Amino acid sequence: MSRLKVASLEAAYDDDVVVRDLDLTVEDGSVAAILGPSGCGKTTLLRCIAGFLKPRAGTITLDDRTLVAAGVVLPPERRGIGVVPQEGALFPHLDVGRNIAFGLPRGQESRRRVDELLDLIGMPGAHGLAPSELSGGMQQRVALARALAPAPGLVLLDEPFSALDAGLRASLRDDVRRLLNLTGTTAVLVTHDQEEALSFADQVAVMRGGRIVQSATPDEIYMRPSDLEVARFVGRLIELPGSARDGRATTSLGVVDLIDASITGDVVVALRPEQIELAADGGGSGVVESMTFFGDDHLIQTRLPDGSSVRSRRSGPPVYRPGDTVSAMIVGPATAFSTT
Amino acid sequence: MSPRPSRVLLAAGAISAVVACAPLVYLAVRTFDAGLATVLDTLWRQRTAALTVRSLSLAIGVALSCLAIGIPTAWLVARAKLPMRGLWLVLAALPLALPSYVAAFAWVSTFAGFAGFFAAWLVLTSISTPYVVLPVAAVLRRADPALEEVARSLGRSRWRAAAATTLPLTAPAAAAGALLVALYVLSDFGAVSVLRVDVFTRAIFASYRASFDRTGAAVLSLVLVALAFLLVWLEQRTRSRAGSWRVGGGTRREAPLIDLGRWTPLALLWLIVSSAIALGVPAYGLAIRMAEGRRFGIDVPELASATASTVGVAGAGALLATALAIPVGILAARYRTRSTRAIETGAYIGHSLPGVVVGLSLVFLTLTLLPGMYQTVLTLAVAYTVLFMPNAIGSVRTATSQVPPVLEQMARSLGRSPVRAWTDVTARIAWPGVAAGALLVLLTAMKELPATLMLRPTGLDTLATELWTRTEIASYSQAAPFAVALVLLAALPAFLVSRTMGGQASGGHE
Repeated sequence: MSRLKVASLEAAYDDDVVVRDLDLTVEDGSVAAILGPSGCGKTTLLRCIAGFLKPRAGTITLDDRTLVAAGVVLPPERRGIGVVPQEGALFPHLDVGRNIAFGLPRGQESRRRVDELLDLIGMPGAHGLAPSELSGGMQQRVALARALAPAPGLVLLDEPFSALDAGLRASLRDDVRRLLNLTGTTAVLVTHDQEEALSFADQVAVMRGGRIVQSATPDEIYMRPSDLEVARFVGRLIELPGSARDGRATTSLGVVDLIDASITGDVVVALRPEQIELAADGGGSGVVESMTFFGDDHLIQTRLPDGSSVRSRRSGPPVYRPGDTVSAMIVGPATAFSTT
Repeated sequence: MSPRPSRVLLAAGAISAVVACAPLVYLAVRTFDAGLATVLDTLWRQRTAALTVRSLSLAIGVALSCLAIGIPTAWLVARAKLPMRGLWLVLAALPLALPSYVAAFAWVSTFAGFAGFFAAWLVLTSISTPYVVLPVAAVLRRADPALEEVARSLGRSRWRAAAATTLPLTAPAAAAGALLVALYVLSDFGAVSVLRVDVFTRAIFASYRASFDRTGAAVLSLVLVALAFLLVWLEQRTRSRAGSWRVGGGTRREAPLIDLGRWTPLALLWLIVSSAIALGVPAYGLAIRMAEGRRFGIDVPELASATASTVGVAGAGALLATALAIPVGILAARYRTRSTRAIETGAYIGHSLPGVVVGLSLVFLTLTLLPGMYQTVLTLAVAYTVLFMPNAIGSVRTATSQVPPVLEQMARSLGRSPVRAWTDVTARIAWPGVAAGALLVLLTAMKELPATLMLRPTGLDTLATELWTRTEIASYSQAAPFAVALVLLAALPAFLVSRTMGGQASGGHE
């Protein structure tokens, strides 16, 4: 239940600067996702917030408490920040109950708190189990319970779902999100999985080369990425060359309205597959090349008369088959980036 | 990506390294105090040259014969289909349990007049062969059978396939084992003294005790240390090259056992004869002398008091060595920086130091700088620490590196101070490994002879010194009970080593 503020942070391993001039604010009670490819510095950022790594410069505050500033570095044990690392990292020599109680003072009160948390994570009565007896998903639940037990102002989640298989990952993600809402805990999730970031967080910060390049709500990140690289990173992208004038761009698929009307000249129009709509057309201009079926939706690759191809996403049962002739059009408005 | 170690931990590790290095450094300083001319004079004496030739001949000779006997034995115990397979492996490892002076004593007391260079060669070969057998057998057992299969599919016969693929794989392990044997022989004091071979260790001890020729003993010690360092350096180079031979990936199958057919009896004969020489003769000798001693009666109170003082001084050594090893082991497991590597190297120096050199250095050091410490249990414990701390560091390091650092970080984020995080998490998980290391030091220190002879408090006798005193005056039947007690104590770590044998023979000094 705290507001995290990171300003002008710089962190390095020996002489290798991994995080530079980084600013980030996470509002009280909200969940932020730090999204980036491996090696972008996102785990380093997390380690600086947790106190496992001493930053070179910058400040970190939690509400009105200074965690890091010039000459001040609070040790991790005095920060009151919960951490859920990859693979859970449960203490192998302690049972589930003692793992959860690790950060609590000894006593009756703590025992009640452990019971409460076991109920919350859907594992009532699991006190006596050894970590080695738990499945991967259960280990992560216990790790979360252990982090939440002392009621920290902030919880840091370091790719906690990455070791789990797809089905379990989605359900555990929902459970964790529900728990964080329930307890009103501010949280920061680090992940390289864009779907996870977009579905889990209130706020997504895209990180690249040690900096945050865009921080916004998930739908804004998806629909209005700040540059082409962010656009490519957060989802499937169709890039169509075109020329822009008066808030509209002309492309091989026709004219489309632009979100940013101020842009002019040669552009790349960045589209999501669901922005391409197909229509059956006997004398049509495009030919369906391939169809990839995912169950709940499918992707169709269409070759255009100019030789380029576009992918479109449709839900429901597949209608078009390879070889069908179709016409494609854009559902706007769209984002465009100047190429001049 | 490892963070820097805390200053307290670095300081503690540095203290351990200083304790380990202090005796040798002081020895060098004292030697050159006598003046360069005196040192060079001693160095160029004909006796020094003769000692060098004899010591190196013995070390190289034993190393070569260990290779000649050890490699076939290793192949038989690892790959051949033999009756009672487990027994042969245990018998091949068991000579490790025999302190060299006990084996030498057993031979001397069985064959009258058994002494000299070739006697020492035979005895030292018989007890050092496991240093070659165990690592080579480990490599052979882990060798990927697919290599030989590929070679055979390319048209080689079974033996040529093995010679072309598996045999080269064992070469680094065999070479490292042989160098370890050479180091062990060069450092050995017990066997060469009992069998009266004039090599460095015996000459150093003699000139220390007889004439108290300090400079002479010190110069010889430095030459011996230089040779030992050379061997350790060669051994580590060989071993690090051995590491690059491994090719990872995939799960390996167990290599199939080879049926020797009509050669089986010959193979068994080989194993029986080598075990009979290494174990049979000493066992027979000890048994005869025991029986003889029973007639005169065993001095039980003396045996009991010697056992108690052995456990006492070795226990003090094990505690000190483990306490000093803990910071070094943690640094080695968790941080890889230049300063931690320097600390580790310094603390490992005892691995290359013969016991007689450590004893002599500490005699000098205490007599000059700390006369109150001369011939005290504490000084003896320091000697054991210098010699055997490497074993303890290895255990602490292995045990610590098995605890992921993230666990300590979790404890910190849940409110534990750095020290509490270590005691509540890492120490709780790692302590069995650390304790096993301390036990190993205890059992190894119990067998130590030369440093114990030089540094023990007046009137304190350990099993090793009691045995030594009695072999000197040739009262063999009275010595036997002490020898048997030592073998029983020493068998324990050999049993542990052969059970956990991962591939490297950990050096056990006499």
